[in-house]
Amino acid sequence: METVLTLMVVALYAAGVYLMLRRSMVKLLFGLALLSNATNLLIFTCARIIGGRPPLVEPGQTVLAAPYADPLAQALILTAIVISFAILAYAMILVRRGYDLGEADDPDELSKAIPEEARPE
Amino acid sequence: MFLIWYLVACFGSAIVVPVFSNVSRKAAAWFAIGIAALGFGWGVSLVGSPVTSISLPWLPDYGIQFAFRLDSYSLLFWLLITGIGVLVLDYADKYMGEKPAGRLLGWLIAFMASMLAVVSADDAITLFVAWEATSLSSFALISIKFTDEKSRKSATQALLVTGMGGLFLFGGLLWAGVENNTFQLSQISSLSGLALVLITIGCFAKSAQWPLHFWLPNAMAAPTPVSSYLHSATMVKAGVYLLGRLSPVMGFQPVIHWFGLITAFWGATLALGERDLKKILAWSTVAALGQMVALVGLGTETAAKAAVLLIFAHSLYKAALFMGAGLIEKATGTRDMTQVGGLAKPLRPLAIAFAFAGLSMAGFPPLIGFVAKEAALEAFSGLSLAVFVASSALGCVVAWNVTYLPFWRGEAPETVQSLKLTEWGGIGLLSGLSLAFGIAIPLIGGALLGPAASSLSGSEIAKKFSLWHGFNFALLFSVLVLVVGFLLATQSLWIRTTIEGVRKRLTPSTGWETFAKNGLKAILTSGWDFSRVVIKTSFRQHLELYFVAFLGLGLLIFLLKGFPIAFWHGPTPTPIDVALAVFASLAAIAALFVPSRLGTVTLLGIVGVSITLTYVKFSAPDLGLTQVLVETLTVVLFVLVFAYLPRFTSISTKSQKVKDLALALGFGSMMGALMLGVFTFGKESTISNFFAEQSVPGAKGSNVVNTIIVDFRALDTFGEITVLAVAAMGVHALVRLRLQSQGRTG
Repeated sequence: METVLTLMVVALYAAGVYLMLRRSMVKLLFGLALLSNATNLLIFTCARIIGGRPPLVEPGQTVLAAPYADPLAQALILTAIVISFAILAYAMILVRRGYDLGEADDPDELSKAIPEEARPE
Repeated sequence: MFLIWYLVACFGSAIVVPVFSNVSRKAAAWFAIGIAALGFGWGVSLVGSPVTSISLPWLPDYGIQFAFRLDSYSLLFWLLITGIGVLVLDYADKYMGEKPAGRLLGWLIAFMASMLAVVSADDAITLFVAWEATSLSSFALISIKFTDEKSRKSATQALLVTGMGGLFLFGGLLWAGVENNTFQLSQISSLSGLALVLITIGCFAKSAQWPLHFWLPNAMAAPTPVSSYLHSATMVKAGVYLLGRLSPVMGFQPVIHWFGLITAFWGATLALGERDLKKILAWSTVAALGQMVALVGLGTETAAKAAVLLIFAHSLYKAALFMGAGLIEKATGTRDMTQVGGLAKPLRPLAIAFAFAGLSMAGFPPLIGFVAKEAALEAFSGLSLAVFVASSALGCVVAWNVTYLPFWRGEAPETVQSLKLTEWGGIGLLSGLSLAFGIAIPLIGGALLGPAASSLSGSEIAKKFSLWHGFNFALLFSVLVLVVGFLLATQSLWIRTTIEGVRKRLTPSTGWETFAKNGLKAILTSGWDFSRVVIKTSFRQHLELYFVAFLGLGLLIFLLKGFPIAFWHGPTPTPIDVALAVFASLAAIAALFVPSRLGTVTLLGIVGVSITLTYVKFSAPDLGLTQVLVETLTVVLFVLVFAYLPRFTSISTKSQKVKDLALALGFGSMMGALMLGVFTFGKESTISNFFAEQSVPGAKGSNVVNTIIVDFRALDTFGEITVLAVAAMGVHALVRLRLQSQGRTG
């Protein structure tokens, strides 16, 4: 199963990077979303996957019986999902705001509006 | 313990005094003076008593402490700093006149406390922190008139030079600490070449030794109280202090010795080419510091004795002269010595005080400066002696220029008002002490200077301090210095115009100051240029650079490690698992070609849901739950925010697309290869085992993922919540802004 998931991660990364390099701010955000998903899946798979053994301690037990899915990786990914959502939401509003001001979705057009700073003399 | 509490109290009152000054200016000033006087009184009570030391643990694992140790050598500095501090604080209060003085007094106290910490620190790191505190507070003091551009520039220059020196010093102290296996200065028993060089550079920058001397005269842009304190008695002596502190370990250091002599000669020469009283005094300070460094570099007992005497004498006369220069400026409106004359008539007491300070500076008996010069002449020999005699003779001319010309030659303008006793009193006191200590040298020598010289040289100095040494070589040279000095002084006008002429003819592109300025400029511009290479104006190119760099780095790792790849066989995939993965991959790829926004959002939703199901299938119910919530919210947000934007247009060229595609595929493949690389490692995670065992007994929770998040790693989660809150605030602010710009208020 790891091989299958690895291929899926490859596809998500490739699609994400390609989208981020488009001349559209909105596509950049789509790419960002894919990139976050791909990364989460990568961590998930690298921590070794296992079917039907969630990291829940059986009632009456004190210790999680092996084998179990890695709880640490899951905790990390959980945090990552929430954080990337926060970033994505903020970026969305920023891009939208940029569009409202500049009437452009093309990052190359937008960057033309940024003044060149003076070289220190 | 008093020492630490005193330093804390000083820093505290540095904050209190400026605030309090707005309520009662007078009371605040008296309070500030009282604080300094308290430190001085405590110092006096310690004279003759054994070494005081105290240490508090700071980073015990590294052997770093808040350690202070006040031996006789440190005590000498302590007394100079607090004693002159009292006079300078009083002077500063009056100097500022009607103008608010709170900030100046506050910074002066902060500076005093930092300086006291420097001279009493026994731990290298404590010393370094205090050292940097003196740099920072002197930056604030030099730029106290921050509306003046020149002040700001001079302050920045001083900060850059001393700050850079501080970095060298830090490196040197760390190196010395590691080598000696202790950071306690009194325990350091050897210094390797590297540590010595680094520490010396730091001290040279602080004590304005050639070629790092140029910042000191520029620092004269500061108000006079600052100059008289920082640039006579205290800050610039920090470098001399530290070199002296390490003197027993260093022994004879010819390089330090000769740099000191070069500085002494060069500073005295340049002092003769100036018209501005404060600049003259600044250059002569550079010269005096050079003499001290030269003595410390010698490392002999006579040199230690001379160095201590010189430090003491110089502080007394130079602080008096600086403060007096400020009074002259107040009375006449200028510091240009060619513009003033005949001031002895209206400013009689100041003229007399100046005369004594000047005589001490020139080394005239029976003032303390004479004793110092005699001792120094005894310490030097050969070529060093010749250079020292030359620089001292030039020093006499400087003394003449400063104390004779403005007062006793020409006529004073009618407008000059005579001074009140409270104004010149401090200067009179310092000059009087120069005389008194000169006569009473056996007394002060036995009580204070002798023990200080002993702890400077590291061995007991039996030699007595006396005014009269009998007819010997030192006396001969002393007379020689005075005679040559006097002869040159009669030609001082000619000397000045000559030096001015030479300096004018030298193009401004030469000299160390310009060199340093150009160096700084080169650093700034090259940094800017480099940033233009890395940070593209178009962030699309910027991203491209990141991806390429990442790809390159990954490839490098693989090349170095020889492509370790393993196919780890976990659970056998069922058709549904495979179908989900294929479905998600196809959706992601399709998202590249769909022209409508809504369509892309839908495809992203499909990817998200597939991943959710994969999480659930492989034992991560919590992840599935979170992912499905976030995915739903994301889709809703995308639709809400971007629904009404125009359709995508295809504007990239074909070659651009091919290039991007290659980069994307390369990046994706590398990440895949990295994953396969990870599988070559075994999976014996001890960290996870800990959580698996401790979840129920330690955190009373059966869901291990939950206990990690809210219990074991609660601080991380707190950080995560903070990020969310900040992002939410940003979103809120931007949405409000948008509504307002549309004419609606939110």
